[in-house]
Amino acid sequence: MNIQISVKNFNFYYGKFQALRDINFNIPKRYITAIIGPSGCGKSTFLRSFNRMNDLISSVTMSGEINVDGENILTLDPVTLRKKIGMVFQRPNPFPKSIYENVAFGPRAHGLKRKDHLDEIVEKCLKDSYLWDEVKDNLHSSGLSLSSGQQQRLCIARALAVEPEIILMDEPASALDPIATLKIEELMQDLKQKYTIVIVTHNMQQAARASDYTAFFNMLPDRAGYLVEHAETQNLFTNPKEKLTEDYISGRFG
Amino acid sequence: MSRKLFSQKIYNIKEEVLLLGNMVEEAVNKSVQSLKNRDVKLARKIYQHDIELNDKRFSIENAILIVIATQQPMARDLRQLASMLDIISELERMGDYAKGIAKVTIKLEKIELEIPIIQIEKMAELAVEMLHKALTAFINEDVHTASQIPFEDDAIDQLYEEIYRHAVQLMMSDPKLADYSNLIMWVGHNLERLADRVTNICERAVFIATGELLELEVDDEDDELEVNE
Repeated sequence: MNIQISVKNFNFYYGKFQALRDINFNIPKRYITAIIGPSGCGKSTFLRSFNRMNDLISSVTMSGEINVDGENILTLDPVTLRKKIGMVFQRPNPFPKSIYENVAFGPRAHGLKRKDHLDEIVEKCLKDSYLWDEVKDNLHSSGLSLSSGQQQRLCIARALAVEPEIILMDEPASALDPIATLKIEELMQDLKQKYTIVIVTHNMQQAARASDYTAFFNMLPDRAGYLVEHAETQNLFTNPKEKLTEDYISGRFG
Repeated sequence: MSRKLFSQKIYNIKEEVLLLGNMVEEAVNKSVQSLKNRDVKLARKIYQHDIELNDKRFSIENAILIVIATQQPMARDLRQLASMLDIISELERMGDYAKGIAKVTIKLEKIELEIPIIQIEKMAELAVEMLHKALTAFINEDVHTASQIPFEDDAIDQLYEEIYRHAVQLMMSDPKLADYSNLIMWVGHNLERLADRVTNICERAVFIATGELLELEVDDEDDELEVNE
């Protein structure tokens, strides 16, 4: 198995508060890895560390390594990094621009100007995000005119447009109805042919349904998040090694 | 909503169940063949085959548990998965019956005994045919066929009766043959039980399609006299 992201002795602090302690694990390339755990266990903080989203918070300090393809991203330029690692958020957040412009935004920002090339990218990404058939006749309508499920797929198309290798998803379906949720999950299955996906979800069933690997995080008594267990999803949900995992997935705590 | 991946997983499990069914059919046919030809080597192969059959059953069971745990099946999907758990356990037991017949072949290796092989072969043929039809009905969710199959059991019971009488006659003609005649009864008994278990598969096929748990067992006085179950 190819490792895409390797996390070593990773610690994360908001000021004096330690949010994550001694995290070690590997994320395989072109698989879906889900991170689950009770609220406040640091799973979103962890995910946001992968593309240095936490840099914007002044009191944050980190130690250890997050290696993406062997390169420690904690010391990498965030702009270069974010071309490689795309992100989809909990609430769909299209730009207040047309559907076309939402997708073309990234490639344009990276210097692409030729219209035929941009057209091609927009069509391909909208197809890859299962949205093309629904919007191909309205590419110049506002992205905000779409339903929330469609908006979320537009955000995925926007993330794909800069040809990342990794897509981070932070609760990508929690604001969607069950059908739109299943659509996103099916889409993820296709996307993993080309991308590594890391998804944080509150919804354990979603992790079970949609991921190949699952990492379970919990909090220590001082509220620092730590990794309890990381295993193939089918094993973690049928025969977890840790009692704590078993209690969490069977709804006995959290 | 298609749930492509989930549907694919159920489809794959169904294929595996059919494969297990084929393994059982083959084991039954070969076990009777081993008895007919007094082929001890073939009988021993069936023992080996039974280990593979049991492994297959466990691997299907594991796959079903994984789908239940990870995919939250509901309604028909859930009935299918729960039924397949039951069906594979029936199939595994049928495999044990074939192994039981192979064991008789081995025990009778050097024994001169007139075996009612025509009836045994016919019985096996009918039982395997019933099993095959039941699995087809299960795959196609064909309620009509599934509800009819248990009635075919009568011919099997008739043949069992003939085998039973043959064995009793052997015992009476020479009490020293009692143990061996008993083995002949066991062969008939195994095939009779195998056909009974087909009925359980038919019940599952009906359950998947309709959601109703029905007893399809045809009332059979002889069943009440059974002492070996």
